[in-house]
Amino acid sequence: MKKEIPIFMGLVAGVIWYTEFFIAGLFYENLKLFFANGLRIGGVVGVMISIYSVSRQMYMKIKYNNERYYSFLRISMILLMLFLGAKRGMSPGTPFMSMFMNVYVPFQATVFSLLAFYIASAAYRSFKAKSLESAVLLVASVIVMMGKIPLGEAIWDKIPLFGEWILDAPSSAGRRAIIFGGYLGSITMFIRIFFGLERAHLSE
Amino acid sequence: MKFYEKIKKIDRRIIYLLVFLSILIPFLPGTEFLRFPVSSTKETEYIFNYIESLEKGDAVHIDWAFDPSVKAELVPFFKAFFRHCMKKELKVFIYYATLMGIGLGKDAVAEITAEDEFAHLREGVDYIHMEWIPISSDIMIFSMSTDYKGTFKKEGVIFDGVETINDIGFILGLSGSGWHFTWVDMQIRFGYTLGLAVTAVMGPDYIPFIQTGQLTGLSFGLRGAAEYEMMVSEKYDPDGPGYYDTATRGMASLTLSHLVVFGFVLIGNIVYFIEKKNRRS
Amino acid sequence: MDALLDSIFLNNFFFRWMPVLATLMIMSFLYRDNPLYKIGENIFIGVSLGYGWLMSWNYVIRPFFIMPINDMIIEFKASDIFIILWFLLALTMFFRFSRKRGWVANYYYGFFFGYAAGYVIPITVQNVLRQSTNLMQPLNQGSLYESSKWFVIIFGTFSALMYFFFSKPHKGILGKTARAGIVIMMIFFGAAFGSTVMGRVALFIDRTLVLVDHPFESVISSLIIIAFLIVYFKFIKKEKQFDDQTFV
Repeated sequence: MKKEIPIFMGLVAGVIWYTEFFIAGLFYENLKLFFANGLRIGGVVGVMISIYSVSRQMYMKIKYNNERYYSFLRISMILLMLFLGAKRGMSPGTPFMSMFMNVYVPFQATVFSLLAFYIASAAYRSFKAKSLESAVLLVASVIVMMGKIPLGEAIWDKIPLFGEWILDAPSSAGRRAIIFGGYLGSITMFIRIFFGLERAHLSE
Repeated sequence: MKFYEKIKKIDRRIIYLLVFLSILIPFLPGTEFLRFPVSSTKETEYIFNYIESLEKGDAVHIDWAFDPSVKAELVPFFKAFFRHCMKKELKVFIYYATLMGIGLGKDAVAEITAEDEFAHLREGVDYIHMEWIPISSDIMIFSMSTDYKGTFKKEGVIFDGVETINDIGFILGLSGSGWHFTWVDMQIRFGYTLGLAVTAVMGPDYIPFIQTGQLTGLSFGLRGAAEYEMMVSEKYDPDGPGYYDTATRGMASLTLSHLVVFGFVLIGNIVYFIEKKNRRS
Repeated sequence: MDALLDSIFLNNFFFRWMPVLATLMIMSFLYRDNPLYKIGENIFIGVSLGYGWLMSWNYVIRPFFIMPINDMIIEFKASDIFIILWFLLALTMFFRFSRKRGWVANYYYGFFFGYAAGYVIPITVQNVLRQSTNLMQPLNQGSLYESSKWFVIIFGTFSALMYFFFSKPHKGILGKTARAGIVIMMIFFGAAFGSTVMGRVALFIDRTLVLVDHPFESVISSLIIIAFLIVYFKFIKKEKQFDDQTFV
């Protein structure tokens, strides 16, 4: 009962959608609308779940955190945002959006931009031609970078063509092999789900 | 300690400082010699040419699927693209696939409409923010035969003549993740015209789809944005100041910082080979 | 009250100083983990949670959850029964958080993955076919440059696929093909790495633009932050040992 009914429901939905690919008509148009409504409701509940889970995580962190001052800061910021949004609205040009553009955006963008430094440091420490494969990797990446920066074409106007060739030919071939693997893997996976052989997404 | 050992154990903060300086210095006065012209690549040209081939009043749907973390790469492209669409008098529908993107997108559009040239633009007439509705891309597409306006529950003159998503001339996806793979996969089935502006990190992953024809154009990060700014400026304002913006300003930094990274890779390899030779002897 | 809020959050002082300060506070982490970074981090988490909650309330929960229920209470239609059923099915997802009754969530997940399977399989087959047929190209592509591209794509894809073919030991011709396949994959990873460097640097260029556009604020803020770091690590928190190699 705990797994059989869900798998059967999945099978029915799957068969309906599988045949939808091949059959057109008013019946299927109405069915699509029916399912569209249902899956939209699923999307709304999904967002609610993500809010709940993030908030629960935050609660746990604050509860078991020794650094009380920081937790206090965090909570006061949450309350400030809620207050601003409730009091003055959320359209552009309000204090709420000003907090978003001048506090949230710089912080998040800077946190991610630190990766620029880490990748330079990583390139220095571990990007070495230790074997044929790593030498190929190094040369390919240098050519691609030279092809993309404006200096490359200023030195010789053919350099971007080399970069383009690397991206379009061998790199694309490697990516195509991965794409094939991914598609074939997902087909097998979904066929297994279809017949109830794969149950990893269901809990006990 | 030998010299190469000292170099090998160099403090990481010196590396950080050099990278920081290499990005900062090209913005200082007196460094104009670092600014080289940018030429366009064919992937970005495909998007530009397709927009050029559309006619006044055609509709463009933008799928905004990124949050502020990668705004540096994609907002410049969006601005250049939006200016181009407004110059062509196309109708632009902006749908936000993430809640965190809504504020960012509204702010970017507000910045453009604050300029004198674009001050006449009105929301609901020339462009519209469709905000977030609970659809993932697949549901969006199986509503291809359903009411476009009804799906988004928005009002405006802009919806005249756009009944289903089949009436959309061009779909532009902006994302810094694999979000648009679904759109690319569905393209064969539904046959819409799709162009993507992705972060440079995701660029090589999408190249095969240009070759198979599923994608009509692809822009690579900040460089793609600079190319687009260049193309729009050369077409619509060849003699004036043009529509050059942050992406073009950043190109010199891109050059110098890459040279610094090349330098690091070179030094790292030299040290590695000296060490290898010493170990053998 | 409204005027007071506006005067605090909507003035040039706030617009000019906050982005610069935020950028420099986070950047101080590059020197070492310090209280300024932690303050910045916690402000960021607080603001992002507050923003996220309100945005989800405004754009998700109120229009798509509260309003439909409200409409139902005012006037109940027969078709609303389906909405209620859908909601019940979707709300079973919340049982994932329960240890004992986690299986209730299976109803939604089972249904959803079954639907996704039915929907995705034909489309994926279409994509496999498109990828395969795209490899069948005429040898003459107009120029040597274009023809060489397709030559490499066709044989490169084949050899990279052979690398994943494990039914036969990689010896002889198969071994050589698989080796060529590895080289092809390495070129892809190299290209990906090159683009990654470009992308990451671009992210920081945007931050530098903020600093350059506000030179006065940047210089003053950096001086303050550097002074703080010196004082903090010289006098308040004295740690001699710092293992540099643990961080990349």
